[in-house]
Amino acid sequence: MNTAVGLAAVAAVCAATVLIGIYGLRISRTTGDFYVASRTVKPWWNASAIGGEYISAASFLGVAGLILISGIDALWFPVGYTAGYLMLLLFVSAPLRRSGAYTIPDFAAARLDSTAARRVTSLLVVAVGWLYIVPQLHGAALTMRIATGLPGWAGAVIVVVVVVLSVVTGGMRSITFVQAFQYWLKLTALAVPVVFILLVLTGSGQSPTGGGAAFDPALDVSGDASLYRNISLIVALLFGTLGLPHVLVRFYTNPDGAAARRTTQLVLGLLALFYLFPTIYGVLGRLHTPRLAGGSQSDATVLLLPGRIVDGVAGDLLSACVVAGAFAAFLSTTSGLVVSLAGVVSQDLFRGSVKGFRLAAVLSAIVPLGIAMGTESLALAGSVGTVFAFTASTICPLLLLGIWWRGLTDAGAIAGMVSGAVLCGGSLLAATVAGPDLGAWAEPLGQPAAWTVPTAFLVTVAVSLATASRRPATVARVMARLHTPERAEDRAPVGRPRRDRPAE
Amino acid sequence: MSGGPHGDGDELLPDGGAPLPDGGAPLPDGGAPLPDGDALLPDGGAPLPDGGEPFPDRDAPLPDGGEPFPDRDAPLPDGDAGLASGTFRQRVRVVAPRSAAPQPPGGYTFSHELAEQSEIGELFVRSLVRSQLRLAVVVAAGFGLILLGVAVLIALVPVTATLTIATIPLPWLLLGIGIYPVILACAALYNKAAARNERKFRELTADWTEPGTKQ
Repeated sequence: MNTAVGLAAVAAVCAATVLIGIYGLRISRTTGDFYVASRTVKPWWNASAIGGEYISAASFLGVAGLILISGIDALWFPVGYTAGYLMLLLFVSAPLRRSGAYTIPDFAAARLDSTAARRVTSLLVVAVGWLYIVPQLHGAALTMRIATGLPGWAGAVIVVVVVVLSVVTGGMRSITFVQAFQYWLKLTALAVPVVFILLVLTGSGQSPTGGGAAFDPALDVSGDASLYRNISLIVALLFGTLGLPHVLVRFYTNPDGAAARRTTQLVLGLLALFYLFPTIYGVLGRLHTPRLAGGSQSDATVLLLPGRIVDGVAGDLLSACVVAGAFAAFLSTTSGLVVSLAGVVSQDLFRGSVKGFRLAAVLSAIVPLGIAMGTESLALAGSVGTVFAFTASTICPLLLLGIWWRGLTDAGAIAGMVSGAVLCGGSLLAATVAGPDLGAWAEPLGQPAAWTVPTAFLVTVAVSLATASRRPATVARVMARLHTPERAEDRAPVGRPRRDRPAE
Repeated sequence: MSGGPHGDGDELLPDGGAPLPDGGAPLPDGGAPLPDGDALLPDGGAPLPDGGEPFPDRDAPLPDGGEPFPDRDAPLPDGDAGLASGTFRQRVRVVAPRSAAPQPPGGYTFSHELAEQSEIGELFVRSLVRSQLRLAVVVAAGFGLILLGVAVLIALVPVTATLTIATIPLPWLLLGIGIYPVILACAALYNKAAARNERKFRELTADWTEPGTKQ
């Protein structure tokens, strides 16, 4: 790949991100602006921003890389990523918007009337956020190496610096603009090269799928995944999306619960559209860059494919296009995570001041940078998948039961989160450390969601029932708040003066 | 934009659809300038920390026209507002409009009062929650069955792999493309039905609280 072009692409995306961040700064003024953009964001902007934030390195690079390695089994990842949003729509989006909380720990505190539950939730949210940022930085390192030949750490450092700059100066408001821009940038960055590639291939008389050869299972490097693995993966992705901190905070930027639902529906459309393209890259990669599947660079498929098929300057430009899109993916997901982590950390440590938010943002980005420097990149889609499993086993039971079940108590929520974290975290750790030595245990430990998520739910329910006396007295009011449509308030209740605006 | 006019501290809601100028404080009601000097309007390009802006610039129409406190976390005037009258301004600490100790949620809106004050209100809310949950579970289960069906079909019926359309095998088509319209259809179906449940709830509570019928 042409180094200068690659560098230019990275620089352009970073510059655009910072510029839009500065533009956003000019209109973000209050603490409310800083945290959640004062909920002024229109559904289309908001949906684009959610899409932009959600489509991470795992989606942009990882899906195609995984298709190269494991063929059709990889397709479960984008299906799960998208269907996770359907679960979010069904069970979480409107009630959570109505809860009025800004972060998941806020929700836990309000619903359970418990500071202890809040603390545990905060710890888990920060852990999830850090674990999720690490693969983004791994992706940035990989892209930097391939696109510019510079050492990988430079890519991770650039991402962290740009994200911290734009978050610290603009907060959520500018992040919303940045994220919405990033979605369309990412879509274009994948779609334009793919259209060119398909034109070139069909123009030279080749079948884009090699007459079906691209789908030959013999190209898979990994063995066939079992039904258990696919189901466990789907459980992780479906229920993990509910608990991702950077996903939840987005729902507060909708004016009301119904708008939150409409926004989510738009997001589903945007995701479905997007995932078509990584899939096409993966299929083309099976024909044109099959050797990547063997090494540790399968995630580079998207980056290298345009240069392999299209020659000369056109190839360089298309490569620059995907490099830019990849960087947009790292930047947007990382900044979304940093914003939500900073919100949580600053609430708990710095009492929610703007200065504290900025400090917390720096903290939230530096720690995963350290982890990323000290670890090797796994397959991106896979490592993000394990974060989903962890979230599904910890935060998901709190949210689902908190929203839908009056019986949840703080003791039950804490017990469920802790047992989910220990079981899921423990088995993932065991699978990473012991690896193939585990034999028959490798699969249930490496892909634990199918049993850790139900266990976490069971523990939460059982302990809640055993501690029924701890049910918060506020539960009726909270449930009413979560579930009653906002427009019921249009009718001013009798006997209560309306507080109208002063006469103009 | 410095020292623009603004309303008094009692008023929290900006004009429903007032256009908000970029980079400036929104002027919701264009009234007399600084009647009581309890709010600080920042200079045009002033950075954030000292820009205690009493008016949240939400240009989205507010759902509840008459309610002074649509959300417990709506910015409070006293907490956020600083001073800026003419010649002096005071630096004001801007903090998030909520604290570690949770305020009791609700209590501000009609529907919450409804739920708190009476058994009937509680009953309405319970039935709404039940119908929304039933709906969500039904849609999720339906989708889950379809997903499971696809997984089982691909895993256990190998003949599907030999069926191709434009050289693409059926399992790839199902997972790569076919499942997404199903997801979108589920979402659309759910949104429609959820809105219908809420409309029913609104009608019920409206009947019950019309003047004269309220108990």
